[in-house]
Amino acid sequence: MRGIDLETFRFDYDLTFCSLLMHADGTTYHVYGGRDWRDAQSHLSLRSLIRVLGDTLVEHATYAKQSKRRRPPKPRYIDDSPALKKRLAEGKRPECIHCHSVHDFEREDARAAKRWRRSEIWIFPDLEQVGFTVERDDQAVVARVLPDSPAAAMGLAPGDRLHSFGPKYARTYGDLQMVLHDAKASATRVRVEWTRGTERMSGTLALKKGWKERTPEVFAWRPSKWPLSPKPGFGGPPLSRTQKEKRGLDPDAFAFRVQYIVTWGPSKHTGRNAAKAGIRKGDIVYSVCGKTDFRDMNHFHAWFRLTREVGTTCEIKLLRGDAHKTVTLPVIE
Amino acid sequence: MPHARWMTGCALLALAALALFVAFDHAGAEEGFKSQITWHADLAKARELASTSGKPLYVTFRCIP
Repeated sequence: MRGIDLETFRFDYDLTFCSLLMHADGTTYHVYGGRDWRDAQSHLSLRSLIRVLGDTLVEHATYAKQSKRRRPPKPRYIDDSPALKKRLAEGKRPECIHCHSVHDFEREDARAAKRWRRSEIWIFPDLEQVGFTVERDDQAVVARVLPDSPAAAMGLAPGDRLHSFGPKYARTYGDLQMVLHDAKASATRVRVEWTRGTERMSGTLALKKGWKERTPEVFAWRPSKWPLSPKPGFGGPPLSRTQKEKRGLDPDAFAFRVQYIVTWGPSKHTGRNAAKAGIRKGDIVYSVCGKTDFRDMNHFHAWFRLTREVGTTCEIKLLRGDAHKTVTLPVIE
Repeated sequence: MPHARWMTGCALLALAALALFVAFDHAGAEEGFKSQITWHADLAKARELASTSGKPLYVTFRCIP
């Protein structure tokens, strides 16, 4: 991401794919991309891309006729990040600044400047957090409305076609997420207009304080979770059903083999902590603080980071050979 | 501005003019768009081209492991 103006090219940098449909002056018509927590491809399809390309041509023609032009914001580059500069000065030359590294460096800078709040990890909310989903191929159309949600209270229904969402003429999942991302994390309201058949309708999403927060399972896919603290300091591949059955473990519960203990980088102290507590490479971990229902390794790592408190301990149950052991892991910063 | 080595494409489509596009239906639109695509790996040049041609930009960020 070096050399990319982050004020102009704004998107969820945790994504592995995102497209911006833009005017050359930096105005973004639409953000194409975005995903739900279950599937990286959840809102990518050729049909939806073609639809938004077509919509953009119309908007571009209209925009071209306007005399009023966007005043470009002051450019901002990841190259200006003090955390990145420090790393470069130490002789560490990251070959490639990945998209998700932007979140990491920004968070590190905010921490160093003592203006970071933990609530800032809740970026680009999933639409389900306000109570609805949209169709994959036509992302202005509501697919599902969750009961007892802000969307249900507003009166939204499946099949409704969204027009405006907050300040945005929203055509894509990415557009909708961007509006939610920019909305306040405290109690706030988002004005929505839609059509149902031929009837024009409108309403307001009333969002309560904390509405951006999500469960570790929903947060788990994000690569920007990795630098968060506290960290377990170890990990590895999950066991298959057959592997679990062979070892006499519940095949429906989660278990993984410790393949690595962190011995490198700025988090190596967490690996040392795990090793000192008694974790060994090759151990089969089947319970973490009593929890056995992790969806996958990402879920395990997100859960540990989001729910464990520094200064406490966590009981890890594991198999070493045929022996069951319990390790008490101090949770450290 | 440095070339974007970190992604397979920081790319631009110089999209079809509206008069051309509206002739396409969805089944044929993909081919229609493809024939109008000009790919660039240099974002600054792509913006410059879009600015002089009056066409919109389609910029894709794709992360490769």
